[in-house]
Amino acid sequence: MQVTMKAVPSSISVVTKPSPLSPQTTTSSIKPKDLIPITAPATGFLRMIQQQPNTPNRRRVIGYIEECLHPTILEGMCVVCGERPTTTTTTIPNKYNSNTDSLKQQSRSIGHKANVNTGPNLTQVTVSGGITMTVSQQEGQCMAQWDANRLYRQQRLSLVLDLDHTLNNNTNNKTSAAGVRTIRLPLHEGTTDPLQLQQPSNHLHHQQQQWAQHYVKLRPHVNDLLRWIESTYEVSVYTAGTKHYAEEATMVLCRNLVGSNRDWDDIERLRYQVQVQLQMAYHHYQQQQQQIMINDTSRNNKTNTMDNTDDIGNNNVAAKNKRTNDQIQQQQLQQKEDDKEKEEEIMDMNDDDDDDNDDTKHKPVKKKPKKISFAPVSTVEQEHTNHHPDEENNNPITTTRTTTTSSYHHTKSDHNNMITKDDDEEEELERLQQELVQADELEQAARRLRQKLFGSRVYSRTDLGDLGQHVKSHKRIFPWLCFADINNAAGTDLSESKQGNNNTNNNKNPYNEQDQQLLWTRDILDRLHQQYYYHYSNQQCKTTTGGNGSTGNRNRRRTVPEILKQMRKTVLPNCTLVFSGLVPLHKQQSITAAASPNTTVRPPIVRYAQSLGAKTQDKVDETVTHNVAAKDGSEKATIARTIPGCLVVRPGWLMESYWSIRKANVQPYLMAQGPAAIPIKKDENDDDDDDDDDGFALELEDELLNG
Amino acid sequence: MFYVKSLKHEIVAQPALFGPKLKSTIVRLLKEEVEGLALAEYGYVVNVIEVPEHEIKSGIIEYDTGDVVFSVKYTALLLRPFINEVLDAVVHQCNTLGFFAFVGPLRIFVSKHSMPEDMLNGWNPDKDSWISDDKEVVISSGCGVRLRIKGRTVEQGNITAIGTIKDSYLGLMDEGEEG
Repeated sequence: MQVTMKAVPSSISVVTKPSPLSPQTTTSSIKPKDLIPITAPATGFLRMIQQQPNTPNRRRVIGYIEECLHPTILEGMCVVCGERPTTTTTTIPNKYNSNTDSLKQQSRSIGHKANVNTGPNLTQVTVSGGITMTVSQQEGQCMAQWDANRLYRQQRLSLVLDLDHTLNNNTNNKTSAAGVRTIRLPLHEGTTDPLQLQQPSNHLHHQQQQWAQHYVKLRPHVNDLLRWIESTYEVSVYTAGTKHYAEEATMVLCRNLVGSNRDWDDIERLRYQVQVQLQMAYHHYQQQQQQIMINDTSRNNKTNTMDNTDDIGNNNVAAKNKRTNDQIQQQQLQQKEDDKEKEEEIMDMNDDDDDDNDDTKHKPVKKKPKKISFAPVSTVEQEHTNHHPDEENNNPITTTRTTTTSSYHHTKSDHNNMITKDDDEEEELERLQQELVQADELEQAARRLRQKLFGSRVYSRTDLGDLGQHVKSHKRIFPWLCFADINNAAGTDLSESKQGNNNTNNNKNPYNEQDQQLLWTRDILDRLHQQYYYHYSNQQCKTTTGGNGSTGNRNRRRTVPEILKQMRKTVLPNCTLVFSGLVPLHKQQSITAAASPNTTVRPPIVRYAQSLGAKTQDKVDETVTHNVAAKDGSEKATIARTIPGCLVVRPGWLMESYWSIRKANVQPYLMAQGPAAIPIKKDENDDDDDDDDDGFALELEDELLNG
Repeated sequence: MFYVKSLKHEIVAQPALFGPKLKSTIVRLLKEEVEGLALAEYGYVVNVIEVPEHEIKSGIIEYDTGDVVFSVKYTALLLRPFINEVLDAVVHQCNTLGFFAFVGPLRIFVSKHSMPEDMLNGWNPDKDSWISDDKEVVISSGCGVRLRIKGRTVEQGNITAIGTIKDSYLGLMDEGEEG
């Protein structure tokens, strides 16, 4: 049996067994100097040994202390032993620390690079829900290893996507652009304290929330990207927006994926329409009932030959009935409205809960929409209404009524009118109810897809807590993994649109329908995944066949940054570029010397070109293949026109090549073209020679003849 | 977990509240201010049980503002985590480092190192739950667990405790509605 005790560094006084040599054997005579304190050398868990091994040594081992390594620290306290380690630091440095060599070696073996530490061997991590904890380096690496192994087994890679301007664009100005979705965001974000948000009972402020509408437009081809990506990448979302926004935006994405055009507001509106329609139908039904009752009473009066007073009395009775019926109807309508309000409240309260909660709580109420059918009867034999028994608070009204034939003739015309009106209403009601059912089903499907696609890996600025400094750094969420940027461009955009259209804004048109970026991203991710897991299948083969490849490379997987770098290098392998009008004069010296890494910082466009494997130079000569020019007519462009095979292109060509990691088609960006390079072929040479010979022979002949 | 203690609190009352119902106003103010508060040494004040009238002594007028400070003794029901205490808690959220559970307003974190050996690698990111090797035990949001408190800290007006389910008879008690 193991006993765990917390060992404390302070001394504990213990009464020791008196040794046989000591003359003082009575407990009353034990002096403090005989007490030997037991001090723990470290904080940890004490495990006592029951059976002591027979050792000749007098110093018997009675137990062991399992030292606590303080793997995770929450609010200054170790989560395993509860102690407060003295070496905790909770500040985030402003620059990245350098890695140690041992760390590099270890990280290479798992295919990732380790990075930021916030203090001596400690890293801050924000987990889902916005709680920030500190983990030790060892713990961080263990988790990174575990994650990497898990993904490797599934043959997937990890992808972090931003939301704004990557997958969507949004604004709070109402816009009439096509395909715009709406989301509801609270006007005031409320508390950002993660503990308050976590409290399950702290939802009072939601009832007083005010909501504003925001308009979201998804980027073109976002569906293609997300639909394909699921099987090959584990997707996380990291946004500088708030938690609410992140949840709403991911829901819009998933709704789009399942093919639903209705956002939350649209569904609510539809639900309201169904309610209104139901109320109208019920109202008409009530009116019908009253009419029939009135007709009945008047008929009864006639058949019983009642006098006027009785008629009046009966009319009064009928009127009274009508009044009571009105009251009943009003009460029921009121009850319906109350229920609707309550449901809205519940929905508002549940907005921030798990989505599943939301569904399970109000789903049973909404799943089976009310079905009122007025059976179109040719004879007024029966009229009945059907209600689902588990519906809100409608009294199950089932009436059957038979009328006499006299009443049939009397009321037939009136009733037929009512029937046609009811038919239309009924059809409308059914249509609306079906739409609502479909909309709800699609919403459910969207929620399930969101859980499947993103899980709980949606991180926002609210989760981080600090709303300023390190918002853009994803190291707080994934501190032990190094992500290679596929497209993390920010700032000035050097590309131009293909058609050179005039934009009303200074920035590029956010609703550009020709935007192909997401398709390029998908293509890049596809190739990256294939190359990364190419070795996976190769390794399987090699291990079975014994492998004769180089053993040094067999166990070493290429990292994602390495693969991307390699992919970029092969885009423009045999190209020599000259830039015209793009690099300021004072930076031009760095171009030629940019081959060596220790020179000054290269201008961005040069860096892009060289990372794509192209050579750059500042003189136009016969080796130049492309002249990337800001505008036509410059000196370099003029010279380039004369060089055979040289193309004068706009910078957009280079940027498209860079961002799609593929050599872009030159045609849309072409400004001018040099003379076609004459390919040297033997046949052509022979022809040329013959032609030349013929020409020479003719000239010689002319000379000879003409003297 | 719960215990009763008599505490003292100072209530600052504005002159607008002075009148015949001053004492009941003071009791009301006391309840509003103190209930739900996390006191460092004592824990969360769950409820103010009793405010004996004779304990509301005469107040002292502040010269600069005109407000009156009443020193009130009251008995309160408190919720506090005691070390080595065993509690039943409801799991609120699971993450890669462990899970968070709540006992009312008290937040308890159970790290994966404080879970049994067969659950150490049981984190399932797809379902956001901790699953044992034999798939028998699934701890996810909404489950009831029995845990032992190993430590506590008070920061920013909230009490956070550290728990463990590694010992015998601890762990999953109730599947929960969403389990």
